[in-house]
Amino acid sequence: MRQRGEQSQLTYQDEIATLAKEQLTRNDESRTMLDFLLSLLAGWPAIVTTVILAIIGLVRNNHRLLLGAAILAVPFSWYLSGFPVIRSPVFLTPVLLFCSAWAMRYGREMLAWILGITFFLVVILLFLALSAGVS
Amino acid sequence: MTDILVMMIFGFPAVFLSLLVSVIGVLKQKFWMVIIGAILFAPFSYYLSGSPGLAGLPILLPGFQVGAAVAVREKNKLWAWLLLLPAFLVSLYIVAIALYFQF
Repeated sequence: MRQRGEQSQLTYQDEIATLAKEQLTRNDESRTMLDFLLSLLAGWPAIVTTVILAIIGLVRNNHRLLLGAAILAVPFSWYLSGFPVIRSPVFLTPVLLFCSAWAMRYGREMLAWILGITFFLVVILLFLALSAGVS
Repeated sequence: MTDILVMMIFGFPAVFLSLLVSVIGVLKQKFWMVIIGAILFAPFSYYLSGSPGLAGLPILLPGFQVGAAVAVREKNKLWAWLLLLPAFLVSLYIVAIALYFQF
């Protein structure tokens, strides 16, 4: 009787341990997924895609591509300006692309290019600042 | 931060962007793009004109780009490309020197 009681307690403990392990694995998976999404939206892939979209948009006079680049630039610029609290004016970077898209939409190509070039210079500045370790 | 800003405007980032914009300007036949390229190239050429042995001549480099812009406006592609060459060659020369002394 006593032995059976001990055995059932052991089984119960094993079950709890297994459940806890499963929960931990699930948490790890979701964390990995979130990290992956964060690196995708706020990391170099987003920056490179934004720059490529902006260049194609400017060369092809396509305001939609510039708008897409501006939307894509929002997460990484927010992240770089100190997510979630905004600590630097870097979060205004997408405004340059939004204005560029607006200028392209209304046929002001020169203004669109000037704003686009300013955006590229800001991205290069960010790259230099990050590689120099300046926050 | 100021150092990085100065490096960006007077250094290679602005130069590469200037050459890229100038080439796109000649290809798309937009003279104002070449003018923007010349404006972007001006700080670098000013910086370069201070180096000994060059007698301040690099300050004339944006002038070639302005000439290229005029050629683009006059629909003369050959002269536009020829006038862009000095800026390209000087940039390549500086890159080569920088790489040579780095490695």
